[in-house]
Amino acid sequence: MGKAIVVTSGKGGVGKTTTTANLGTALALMGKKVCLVDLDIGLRNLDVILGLDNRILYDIVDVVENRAQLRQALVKDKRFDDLLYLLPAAQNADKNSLNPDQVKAVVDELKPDFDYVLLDCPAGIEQGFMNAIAGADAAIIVSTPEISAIRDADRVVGLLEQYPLAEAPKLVINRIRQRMMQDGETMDIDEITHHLSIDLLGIVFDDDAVIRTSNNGEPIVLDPKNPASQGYRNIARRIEGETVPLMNIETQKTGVWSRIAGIFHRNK
Amino acid sequence: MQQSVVLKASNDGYELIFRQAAGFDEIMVDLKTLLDRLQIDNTTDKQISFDMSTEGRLLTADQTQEVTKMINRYPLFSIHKLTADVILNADAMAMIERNTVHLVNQIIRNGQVVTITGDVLFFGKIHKGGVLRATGNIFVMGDVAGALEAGYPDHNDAVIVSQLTTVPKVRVGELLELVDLEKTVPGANVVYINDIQTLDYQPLNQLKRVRPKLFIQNGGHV
Repeated sequence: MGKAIVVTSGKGGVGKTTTTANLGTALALMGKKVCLVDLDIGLRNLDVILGLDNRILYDIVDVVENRAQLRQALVKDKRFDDLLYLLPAAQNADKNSLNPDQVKAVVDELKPDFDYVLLDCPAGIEQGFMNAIAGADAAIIVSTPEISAIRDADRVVGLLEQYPLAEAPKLVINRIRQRMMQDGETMDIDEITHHLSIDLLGIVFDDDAVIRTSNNGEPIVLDPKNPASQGYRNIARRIEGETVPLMNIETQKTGVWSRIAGIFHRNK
Repeated sequence: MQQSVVLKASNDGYELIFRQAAGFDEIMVDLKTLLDRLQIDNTTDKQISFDMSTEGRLLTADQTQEVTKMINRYPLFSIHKLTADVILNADAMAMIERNTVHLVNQIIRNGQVVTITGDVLFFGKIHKGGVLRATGNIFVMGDVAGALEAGYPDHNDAVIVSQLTTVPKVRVGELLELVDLEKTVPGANVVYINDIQTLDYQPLNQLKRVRPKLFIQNGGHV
């Protein structure tokens, strides 16, 4: 029986969809069978980032409204044998086309066949959010080091306390700009983690290549050398239960940080 | 046989006691007999107001009405008060809740409103956008970046005791305001409603002067 993990944030634009795509891909690279479910009904993006947008025949709304079987709607990512699938969102419907029970039923149907079901939650805390958490066993909260994102993440953690999942939510800090963080222009990782008082699952650096690869429909995580990719890969390994040293703040500030900075300089 | 209704006279007047062991129907019969006799014996036209006790029994609303109706049949009799030695569990719990200082140690996150009946001694964290709301007083030992609301919704004699440097908003009873650090004092503040009905800030050592009752209550019930 697989595990369903919802990727959520409250605020829009912090990288939920990118995180979902990359974690899913990273887990598939590790040999896990993964299904990504796009729940951002009406504004689907996950298919685009994965480069699967031309291969969608049916979507999740077709499935819950019995116009298609779940198997028919799943889009297989051919780059990964039989490991990575996408259940796309509907484009011509809104978030009220689904209810939490329907989403839960779909997720429960997927779980026996996959190791992981990753649910890409829409921004906001309304119906779409409620749908997304209904079927989940665990949650990943994505935040950037911006105060507005952190504030919304805090709100979402509060809501998850109200509707508790089997596992406590974990935090991914995305789009970290090392220079700004080092100069104290943004909250640092310790401050954010301490403020939100939830466990840190991992950190991902801001990198132009993330956008570039997304535009090409190839998740960044396929490039093993990219620092953002390494962040996602580390998170995937931690999800799998491996103990991966958190690219933790102290080391980053001294050794690793400067090494990573070096990588950036080379890229420029 | 022991009577189910007992009449006692005291300096304060007459007291009617409904024996706990007796059935209610029996009580009503005996009450009628007793009142009939009392009316005959009563030679003056002085009003008699009864204190009634139901001992370890709570009358239902219907039963209370029945008793009231019975008494009202006699023009010279009336009920002063109707009491029992017992209260409902729910009422007792509510009373305990109201009179307890609740220790709260949790994170109140953005958008969350934690409401407590009674007083609160708060050890947790209130994030920006979170609200700690109590019907009684609030004493804060934790970190607060959210709002504190004591005496909610209209208990104007409540107080907040807290450092206020990071607190954006306070409310006591019906009054709320954004914290103006120029009005506050360094360290722990006592926030209360003063004699001219505005929110006021005093240093902690003024708490006993501002709300002496606080210490009488907490020291034990009168």
